[in-house]
Amino acid sequence: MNYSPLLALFVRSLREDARSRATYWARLGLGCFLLLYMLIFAAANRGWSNAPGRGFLMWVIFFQIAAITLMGLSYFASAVAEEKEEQTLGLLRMTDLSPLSILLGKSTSRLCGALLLLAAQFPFTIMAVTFGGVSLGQVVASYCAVGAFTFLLCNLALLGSVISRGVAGAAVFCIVIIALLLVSVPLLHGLQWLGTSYFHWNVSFDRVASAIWTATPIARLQEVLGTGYGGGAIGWQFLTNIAFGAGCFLLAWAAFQRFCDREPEAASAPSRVPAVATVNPAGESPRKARVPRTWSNALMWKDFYFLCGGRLGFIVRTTAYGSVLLFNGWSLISKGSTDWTFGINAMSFPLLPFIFSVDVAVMASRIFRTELRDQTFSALAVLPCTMRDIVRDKALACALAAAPGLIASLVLQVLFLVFMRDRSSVNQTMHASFIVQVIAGWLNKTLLLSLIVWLSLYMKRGALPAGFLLSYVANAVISIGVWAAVGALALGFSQGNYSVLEWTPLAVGILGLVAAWAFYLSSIQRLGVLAGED
Amino acid sequence: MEAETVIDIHDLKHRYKTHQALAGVSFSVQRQSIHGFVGPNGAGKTTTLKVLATLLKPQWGTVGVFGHDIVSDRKAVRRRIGFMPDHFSMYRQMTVLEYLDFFGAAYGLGLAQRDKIIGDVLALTDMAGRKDDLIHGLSRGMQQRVSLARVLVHDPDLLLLDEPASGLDPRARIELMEILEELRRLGKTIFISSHILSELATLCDHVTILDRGEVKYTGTMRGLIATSDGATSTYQLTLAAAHPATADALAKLPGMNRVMPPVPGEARYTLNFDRAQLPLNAILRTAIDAGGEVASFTEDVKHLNQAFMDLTEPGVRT
Repeated sequence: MNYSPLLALFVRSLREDARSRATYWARLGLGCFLLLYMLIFAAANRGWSNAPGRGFLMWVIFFQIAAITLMGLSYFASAVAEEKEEQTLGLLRMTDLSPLSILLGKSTSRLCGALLLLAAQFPFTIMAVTFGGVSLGQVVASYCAVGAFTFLLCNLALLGSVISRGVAGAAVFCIVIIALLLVSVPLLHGLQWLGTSYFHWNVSFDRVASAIWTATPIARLQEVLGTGYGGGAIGWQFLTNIAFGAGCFLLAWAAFQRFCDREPEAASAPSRVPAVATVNPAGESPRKARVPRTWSNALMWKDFYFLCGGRLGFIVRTTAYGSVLLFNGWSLISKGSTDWTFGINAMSFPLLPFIFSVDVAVMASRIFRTELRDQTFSALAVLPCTMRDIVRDKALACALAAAPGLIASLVLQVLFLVFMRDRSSVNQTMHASFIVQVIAGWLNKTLLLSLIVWLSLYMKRGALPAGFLLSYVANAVISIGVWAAVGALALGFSQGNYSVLEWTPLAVGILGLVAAWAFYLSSIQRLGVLAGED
Repeated sequence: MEAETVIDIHDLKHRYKTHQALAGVSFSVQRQSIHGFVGPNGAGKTTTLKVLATLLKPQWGTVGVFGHDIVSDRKAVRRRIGFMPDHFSMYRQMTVLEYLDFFGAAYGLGLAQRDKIIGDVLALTDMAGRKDDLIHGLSRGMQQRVSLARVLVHDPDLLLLDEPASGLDPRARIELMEILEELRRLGKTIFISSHILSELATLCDHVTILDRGEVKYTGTMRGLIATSDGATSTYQLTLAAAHPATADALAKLPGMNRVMPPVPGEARYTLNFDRAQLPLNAILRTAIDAGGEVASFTEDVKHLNQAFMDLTEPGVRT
């Protein structure tokens, strides 16, 4: 069948997706996971909750939001940028394909894939209605909110993909825009507070801040999943997200000519000012280099400067993590746990380690993938050292780059745990439970990172979201196993003592650590194979 | 005195799922030689090179490099070899200097040692003037030079080069060959693969021809010609202008089998003769005595191509 050039790429992408087994495995896997989770949820909430269906739906929808956001960082952001990196965009431009056709083909097919993945989960999610506490209208409205957010993110990533030189740049663009949108609300409130308190301004940003906040899927889902929601399926968030997404698509279309007409020869090579020589065979006086001479641990030097952002990246991380830590430390130490600082600390306590997780997960997804993409791994593999040495040195580089985040997260968590003891609302059991969760969280990070590295050795793209998703699934599965074991051994259940379950995260973390070791060993083996194939 | 064996491969076999890449390959490479490794696409050249570079473990057979087994003495082998793959294995966001310095440090060289050797390899590859340039801004030929410089940075005794001239323009090819000649003079052993025999004809003293995972010929370049055409040689004699009297005089020489006349407008005669009966000097003397003005007298490389065609099988490997 003949298709107009406008839809040629789009149709081809859909065909490829339809023929690929991975598409069906992904849908089946997601469906099975939802079923499994639903059973656990039903069992766990039996008699405990008034609205288990709402709780289940809330979990599914927020899980989807997280997965789609992560997907935006890799799958959506690679739309045009992957063609730039592989230097094939020029070939596409030489054909009859117009910029609109390329954008539709590269991006809209991804959007369709993601929406179909959402649609595949819909029948399972409807089961939430049978659990009680949620209506079909709420399920539909939730899906509309997620769908609109997916549309927005896909087109935002497309814009990033068009104006950036590579996938990493497009992902950073997405993160910055989303972060700006989220930060703008407290920023506007802060500005208003400053203005009225110190400069006696008579301005109100409340309406703007409220408009921005209600345009986020989080605000919309809070509204939709609230008790007794009686609104329609489509709200302000849906309309703004669709409009903003369409605007991004139009911008991408307008910017395509300007940003994609250049020869993509150097697309994958990050631009940087060449370092000035320090080695000078001619005997001239050496000048200061922007990148210093190679350290005795050469691999660590290379990855620190050319993968993890080098000194600039280190300074940015130190400033960003350090500011959060300083503020939290100051508020905890100087003001104790007053209500408003406690609120901020309570938010930073899980948020900072999560941001740190994403930061190191990005490094983990690139640590070997960039070597394989640029076909540089064979040159490393013939160095007179073992594969374990290579892995260790590369991991050390990432650890050095991530040190500010690691230290800040640890210190913040310790500070928070220490000061939380003084809160009257926190009893000893809750405090112990928090400590267990903190330790388990760090053990889980080990599993997450080793899983992402392992996946990146098999997947060309998408190791990062897949890693987050699978580590979550692995955690859930191991948790079920631990609960089942506890139940089977009747450790306290028969006496009505459920406190033993508080140790479940730690057990899950330790088992995760074992799994991480298995992934490490498998990665070493896989790297040996890939070195021969490079 | 017998030359030291640098590479010793015996009955090497390697299989990729359904495809037998190497089916019992055996040959050796002598020290300070330039050994060509020639074969059509898919013959198994890259697989052999990857085994030699310790990137692939031999599934069958033994492979020794400088007397070390490549499986049990992997580190010792890696210190003495420099492997250049058939693609640019480069960190394109680095400058030439950073790139070489990184590999120098990775091989455990100290700062002073690195400074000296990097200076030397940059001079050898004529890249000293571009040392502060980012690699991604260099032309293909220059990237190939940097790649060669990288291979030399830890001063290996054996260079394993996988189709180093592919994709280069004629000038870059000639310059690369000159660098390789210089490296041989510096005492390096060079094992170089190509799918074009004539490209290596003037460079290599030894050659191994591989086809469909089997060695079809291994030995000296001269021996290859003898194998392909009995005891005869074929040379090209180019005169300043066509001179039939010279051709007649050469045809009458004892041992001369055939003198093929030049195509109209050219003055290049193809001579096929028995090397045992007819020395090269006698041919040149006869041509000069007959009044021909000799412009050049070279071995016929088309002949090598014919030898290659005779040894390898036609068609695409399945």
